[in-house]
Amino acid sequence: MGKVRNPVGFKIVRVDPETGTVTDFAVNRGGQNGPASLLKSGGLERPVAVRFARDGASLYVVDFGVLTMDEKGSHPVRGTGCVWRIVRR
Amino acid sequence: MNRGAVVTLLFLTLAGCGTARRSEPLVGPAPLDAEQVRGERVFMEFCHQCHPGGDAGLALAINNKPLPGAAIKLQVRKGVGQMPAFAEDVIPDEALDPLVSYMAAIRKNR
Repeated sequence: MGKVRNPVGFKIVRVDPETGTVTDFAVNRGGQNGPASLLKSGGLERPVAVRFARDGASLYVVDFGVLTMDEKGSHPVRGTGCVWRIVRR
Repeated sequence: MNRGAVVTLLFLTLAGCGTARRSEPLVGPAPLDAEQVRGERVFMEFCHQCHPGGDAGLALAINNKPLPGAAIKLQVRKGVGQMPAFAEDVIPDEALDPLVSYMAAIRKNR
């Protein structure tokens, strides 16, 4: 165990604490889930934190950016992180 | 097995495959009836951890594999490979039909 068959995470979900239901909120497009660097697309890479604006009109998402792992450890890529701002259409 | 049977089997296999993603931002929320809402809760408690939203994760995707309900129930009860078995004291018999119904609903929502 510990090896996934498909990338897990790399998205933002809503959780209903009363029912335990987890629903995707923001994901990258495509036939497969995963970070933008894997999918060769723009979009979420590694979202790690979210916070609503004080007026509740925006959701800010901290995206760590590209972080690969191998037997030698973690390898973050400088300059690939960002902060997303999500607003209702 | 003759060529016609092989082609038919291959066609049916491929017809049930394709992407397993059913993310709400991509396909919209799945319309669920009351039974399927109950099934969703069962799925979230016991299945979602390995089959996130029916997609592949720690385990294989299930949204793109149109197994009949009886086969799903058997797999839940007996397990298969690394998938554990869920006994009746964990997932009661009366929860299996709603679970199967929910899985069918999200599979069709594409």
